[in-house]
Amino acid sequence: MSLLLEALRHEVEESQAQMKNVNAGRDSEYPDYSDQITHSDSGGWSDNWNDGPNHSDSWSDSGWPLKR
Amino acid sequence: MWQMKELDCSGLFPESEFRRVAFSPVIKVVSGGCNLRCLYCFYSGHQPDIKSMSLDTVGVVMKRFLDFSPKVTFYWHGGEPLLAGKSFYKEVLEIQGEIVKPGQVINNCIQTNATLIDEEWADLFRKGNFRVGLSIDGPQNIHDQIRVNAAGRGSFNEVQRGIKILREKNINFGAIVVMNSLSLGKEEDIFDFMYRNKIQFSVNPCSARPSDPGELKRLEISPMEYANSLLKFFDLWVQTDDPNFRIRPLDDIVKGLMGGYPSFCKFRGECYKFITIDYNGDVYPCDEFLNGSFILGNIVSQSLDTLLSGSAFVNYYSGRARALSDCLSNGCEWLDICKSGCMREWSGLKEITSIQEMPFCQAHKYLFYNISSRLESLGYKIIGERR
Repeated sequence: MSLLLEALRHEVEESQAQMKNVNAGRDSEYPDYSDQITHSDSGGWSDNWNDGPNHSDSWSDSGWPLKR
Repeated sequence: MWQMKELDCSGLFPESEFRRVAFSPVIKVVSGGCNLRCLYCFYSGHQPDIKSMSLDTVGVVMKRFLDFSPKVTFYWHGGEPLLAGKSFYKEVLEIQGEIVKPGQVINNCIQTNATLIDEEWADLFRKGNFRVGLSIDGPQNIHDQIRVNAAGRGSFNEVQRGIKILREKNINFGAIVVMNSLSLGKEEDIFDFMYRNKIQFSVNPCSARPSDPGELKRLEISPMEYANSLLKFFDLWVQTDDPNFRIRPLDDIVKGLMGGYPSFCKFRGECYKFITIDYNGDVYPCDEFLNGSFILGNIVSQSLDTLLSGSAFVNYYSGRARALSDCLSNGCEWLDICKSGCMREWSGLKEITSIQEMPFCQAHKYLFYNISSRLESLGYKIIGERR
């Protein structure tokens, strides 16, 4: 068994469960994962790879420092 | 998994839907101004003067988005965004603190070449909880042949100094590695360097447009070369079996093949979330399309409602709907991972006759097929109708 691939598979299962919950609560035809996207021109980093927006020209993701 | 409605740009996006969207504007705080002269930069050969966004403009930009969206990630980009100066970002944080509403969330990301990072910058990143991305192309002999300063000297040592400071200050970061014609074939050296130094990274291709200078075209790699490079990285990555070390976009492709939701913008078909703001407030679809023919409007003089419902915006993104329609009608088995790819890869063309015939499409199919085969050989089930 691959630890790396198992970790990825676990993240998939978590995100699927999260989407089910969100969709059930919202009664929407849209899966609400709109804030989980990465830009390819970004390179930000966080402890949790999986939980924030990302652009392909960057690396950023995760966390929301300002919240009231 | 995906839904047509998400990508259907043929009509106006209803404002009610946009109001739910987490926007991630890319802000070119100094436009293309930079202290480096990387040979593959799309500003290469016509490096603009440094034009800084004014505090008035940045205040308007942030207010426009925060008035509109419940979650906003500001991507501070360039050029080299640190050239805007520390006081600029201190003011940004002040303004954000003043205008954020109850329940609203703000994220700040910065993409830097890392050469200007000092302890004071690191403290500012920490204070503002900035997500830091930097650019490094691998070991010194590979990095320094491309990422040079105005005198033509490699920037590797300055980048390493910046990394050392970030590490000393306990600030996490990731990196972008741009694969180009000079680094192609050196994937093992690059991977060894990045893994040994625990720098997780994204592999981006060096690409050129027809109008780009010859030097940039010389460094360009083809979509198939990029796919083969990614496969080499994939094999090296899987061999580590290290769950704490990730490479983009490979992790996203693997998760997509396992039935997950892609997070990389190239595989989401939602690039409108990353509209790009130049230093003077001019709005473009993406930082790759920062020229007059793609301008969508100006955020200082126009509200986001106006921009997002304007004909320029709708016309531009309707190209994506046409591309998707083509992929759908061809019954592409990889559509739920690819979503017709990145508009850069088809140059934002508005009239797509057959995306299937485009080189990037063939390369995507080749890449997805080979990764799925590798996963299956390792005992992992590929989700979806493709198996």
